[in-house]
Amino acid sequence: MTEYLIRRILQSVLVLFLISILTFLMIHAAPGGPTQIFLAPGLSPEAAQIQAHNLGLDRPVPVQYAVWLGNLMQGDLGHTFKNHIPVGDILWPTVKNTMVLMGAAWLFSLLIAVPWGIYNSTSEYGLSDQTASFVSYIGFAMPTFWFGIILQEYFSLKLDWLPLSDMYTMGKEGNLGDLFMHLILPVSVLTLGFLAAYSKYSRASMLEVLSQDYIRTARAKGLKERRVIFRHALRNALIPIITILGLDLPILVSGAALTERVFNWPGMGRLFVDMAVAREYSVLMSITLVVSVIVVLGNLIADILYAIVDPRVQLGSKGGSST
Amino acid sequence: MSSAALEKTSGTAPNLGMEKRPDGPWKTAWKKFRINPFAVAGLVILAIFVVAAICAKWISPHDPTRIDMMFPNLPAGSKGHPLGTDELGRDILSRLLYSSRISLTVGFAVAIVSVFIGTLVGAFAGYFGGWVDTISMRFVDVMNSIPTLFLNILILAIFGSKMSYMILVLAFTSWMGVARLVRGTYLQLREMQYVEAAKATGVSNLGIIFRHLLRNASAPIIVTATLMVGGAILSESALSYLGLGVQTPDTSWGLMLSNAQEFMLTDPMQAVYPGLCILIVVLAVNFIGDGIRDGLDPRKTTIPQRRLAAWRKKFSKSGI
Amino acid sequence: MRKVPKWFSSISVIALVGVMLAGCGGNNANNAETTNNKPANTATNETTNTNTTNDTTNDAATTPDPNAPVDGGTLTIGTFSDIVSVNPIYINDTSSGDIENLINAKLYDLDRQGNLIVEPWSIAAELPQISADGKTYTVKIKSTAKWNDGQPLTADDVIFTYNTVRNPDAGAPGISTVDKVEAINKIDETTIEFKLKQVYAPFQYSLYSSVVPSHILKDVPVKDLKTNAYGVDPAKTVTSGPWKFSEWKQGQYITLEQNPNYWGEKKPHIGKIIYKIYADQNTEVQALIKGDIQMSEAIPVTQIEGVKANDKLQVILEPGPLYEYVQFNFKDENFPDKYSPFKGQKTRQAIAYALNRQGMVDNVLKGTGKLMNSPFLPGSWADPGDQAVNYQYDAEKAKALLAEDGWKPGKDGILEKDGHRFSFELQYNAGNSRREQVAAVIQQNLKDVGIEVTPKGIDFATWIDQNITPGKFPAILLSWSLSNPDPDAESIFSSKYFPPTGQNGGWYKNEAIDALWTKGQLTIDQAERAKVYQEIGKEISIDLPYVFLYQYGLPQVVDASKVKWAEEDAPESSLGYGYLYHAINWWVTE
Repeated sequence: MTEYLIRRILQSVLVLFLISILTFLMIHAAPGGPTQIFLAPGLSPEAAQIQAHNLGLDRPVPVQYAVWLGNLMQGDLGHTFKNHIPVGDILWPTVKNTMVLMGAAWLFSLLIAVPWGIYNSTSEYGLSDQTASFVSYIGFAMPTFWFGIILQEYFSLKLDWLPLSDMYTMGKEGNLGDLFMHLILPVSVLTLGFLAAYSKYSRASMLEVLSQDYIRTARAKGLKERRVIFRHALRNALIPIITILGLDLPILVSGAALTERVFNWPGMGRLFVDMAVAREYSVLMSITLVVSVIVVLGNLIADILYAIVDPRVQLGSKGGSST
Repeated sequence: MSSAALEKTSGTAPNLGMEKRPDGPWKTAWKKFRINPFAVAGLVILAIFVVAAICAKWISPHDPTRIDMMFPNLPAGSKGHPLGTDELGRDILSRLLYSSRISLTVGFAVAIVSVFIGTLVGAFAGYFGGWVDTISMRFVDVMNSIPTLFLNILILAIFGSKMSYMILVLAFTSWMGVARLVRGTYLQLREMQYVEAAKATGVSNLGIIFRHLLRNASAPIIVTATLMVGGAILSESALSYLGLGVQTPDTSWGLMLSNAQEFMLTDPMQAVYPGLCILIVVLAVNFIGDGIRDGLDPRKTTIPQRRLAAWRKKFSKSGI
Repeated sequence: MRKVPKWFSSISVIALVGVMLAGCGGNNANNAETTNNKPANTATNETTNTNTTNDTTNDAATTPDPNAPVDGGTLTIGTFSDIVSVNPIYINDTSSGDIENLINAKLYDLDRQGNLIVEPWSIAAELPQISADGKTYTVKIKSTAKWNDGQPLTADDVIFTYNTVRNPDAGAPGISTVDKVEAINKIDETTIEFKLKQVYAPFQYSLYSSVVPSHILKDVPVKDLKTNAYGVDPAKTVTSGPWKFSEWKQGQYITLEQNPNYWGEKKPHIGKIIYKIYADQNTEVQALIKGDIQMSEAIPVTQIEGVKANDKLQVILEPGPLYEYVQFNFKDENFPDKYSPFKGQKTRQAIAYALNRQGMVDNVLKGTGKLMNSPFLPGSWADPGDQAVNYQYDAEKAKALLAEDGWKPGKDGILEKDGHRFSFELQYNAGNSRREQVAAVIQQNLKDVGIEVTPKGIDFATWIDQNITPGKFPAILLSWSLSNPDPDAESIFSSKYFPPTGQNGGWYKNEAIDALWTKGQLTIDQAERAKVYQEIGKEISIDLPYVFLYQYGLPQVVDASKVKWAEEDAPESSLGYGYLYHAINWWVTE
């Protein structure tokens, strides 16, 4: 187990290291190079040279990378180009806000989707199952932002039941009730997508388990169906769902980004879009890294949980494809 | 159970008794596909959209970019403008038709390019194994760990938004699934005896990879590719909504949707049309993909799942 | 400090490039702007104030006593881009300028006509005294002026500010506005003397400027000023205006609170001003309707109808300090066949006749713009009025002029001369629906006289970098935001200002007009100067380096049920930042 853990962690670190190189190179491959990107337009060539020197942009790329990584290790994410604000000051609050939104959406969809999927597996092709199937198809095919805009128009502007956008009403920062009201619409949007996926997974996973020999044995023993499902099947059915939750993290983060934009949620996704338009590359690099860390960590935790829960997993044999 | 069942996995009638040479996998799949109402409906709808897109030039009532300031914001059903006009007096129906060209092109092009990349990487990784495999799969891990939308935005923000870039970028961020799949298949297949036989007869590695093995891996690739078309159309609309996708004077459903946001107060229907188009096409493509997958799945042959379920329910002791 | 003119993009979500709005010559549309001191409800005041346009919603929101200002309350304003820094030396975008304007007192202020004046909230005590030779400006400031940390605001602060802007190491964008200054001398604690190298009339507007505290910034090395926390960190941003910078949540909101140490005789009524940042303008409009915000500086023109349907919201739309134009390029290598078709004066005049400018104003701007015939805003003191040629839409005359200039119809009906087809690309920034429409009208109008136009929309930032600044384009459709009330526009039209140093991207050269611009700078007396600009207006409208189209404005929206002002304090659309004109006298009701 320890060996597996260490191996898995080293793997994650390697992936993150590679991501940092990829992001860094991408910025440096941009047309005009980093000088173009990091310097103000309209500078005279001499002034540009001086500024480039001050920012260390005239050094070889590997050296620049090393310096950047070194600073990163010390928690220094750099400064915004336009007004020289530490990137961390802008970034960390948004990470927290995104976590709140993602966490709420995740929890909510899990609480609904898993029981629903499991129920549906016991009554295949019933009304509930078909509804789930319908919802999942719509959830997969609906443009997230479109759904968000429709909800806003209807529930906020037309019916005036819910707040339109933002995380808190001005002046009520930190008020949980206010936060809850603001969460309803964006969480609904995110949930539609995940409800679809998770109820499908849990149903499939449960069905898979229910067709196993030991369940048949249990039934043959004359156990009550309820007992068969809750005592024997459920545990094993939940295991694959854990991995899938980890695997789905990138989708969740991406979906949250669009939703944040629609609902003016002060999170990482919205910041990323704003900064992309403003061409603040140091912020973009940092956000890319932070979201990647979240995803890699999520996968790592899922894998470890999986290993703990499922004794059948042959530790250390996962080799090549880790996820 | 009415025919409105929403299941995607309808089976064929049991093929009993007939002692004939069994059908090939594709023929079986087609037989199963044919009687799957959702898959067929999806195919028909997609065909209609594709034909409309190809013929946009001839069936559009107006030039989609023609601005007619005498008649802006006409409601649907106006004379000569079945779906009305937008704020610049452009015909909405014509714009939808021309948008379908770009949206569908992006959808299919992304699927094709990413299948190409994915197959290439997966095939080499799986066939050769060793360090080729390790490096490729590490790269897949890296790509999988950066949320796609962020990567797309980053690349488009750096390199600028052009349609060709967008297709490449979307493909560049969605080939990993195919690569995994192909690699897995190749890992199994390369141990097969016929591969050794082919090697013995002097077929080159490339020949084996692309002539002999690819055929065997093609079924899951096609399923993934189909499902990818829908994903690409959705991604295109998201990027266009963020202003990083299709740029005027080109138009796509995503861009129309993004523009229509301005008119939610005065003319909400402008947002409904392109949204519905995306929804319907993506649904259709997903139905087709599921249909092909079920058709190719040998486990789903004999008895319709629905009947099986009914039977199981009847005989199980379930108290739930 | 703001003088460098800026190209004006759209307010579209995408073109978020530092766009600069600043002062400009007043326009006489506001006849109702009188010295009438009777406070009035906003609604009534607006109907009288905008009698030249039809863009106000008259609502009858009645509060118990709508005429009496109340103190306190919060005004929430929506914006769609975050600030960069509110350090007045480095302001280069409207969002930062908005905040800067509210937290800083200015040396001088502007009246509605764009004249330099002393208001109760101005730092200066009286108008500048200009020496007889026109080269020395003496400025006297109020002895009561204070910073919000309690320190007195003195001549040292003023001198520090101007010397910093003049210092090339500081990298201030306004450096060209003070490059004619030779020395700045301190006479006493409240008197400053500016000595110019030469007579330079536009200098007076360099005094329409905020001041930074030297006691805070004097020890900062000049080249580090730009990255200093001043202007970014509210706690370190010491200012002198009625409100102070109290909080900035990046990407979310900016809060301004009343300055407890405010020195002015007139105190502000509004207790707190919040700028709320939205991801895009559509969300901003939704928030207006929902009541989350009470004001927006500019909403998309397409949303006006929707907003008007809401009876508490009032739309103020009058021509602002912005004008749109078609610019020709005179340099041959900017055309695919290495031949600029625009070199003939008659050809350019023909194009002016061929364009239905009134039609654009009526249909595209819905009547809210004004025709322009020269680079001077209609109604400003430099406006040449009838002296500039007004090209009435006349396709037949256009055709005749083109024929006179040697253009003959080719096989496909498009005109030809010396083997060159009259066909060119008209560039504009993509995503600006107004420009898209106008480009289409131009295409149609010119097609009618045998000229082929291909409109091409390009991303704003890319366009400015690759085409506009280096002067590499065939023809463009663009606007100028006149960031200074002074009519001097030498850097746009004079052949001294070819790219890359100047903004004459069309490579236009007319020595007579070049000389007139210089003359305008050397004349101090405003009446005399006006004559020079009338001359320029006349010449330029004949020679046409541009076809001047129209002056237009941005639709400001106010929740009239909450935000109140007296008639004389109403927003002034014709000034840059005029949407907050006299905000110190406004009040809000809950």
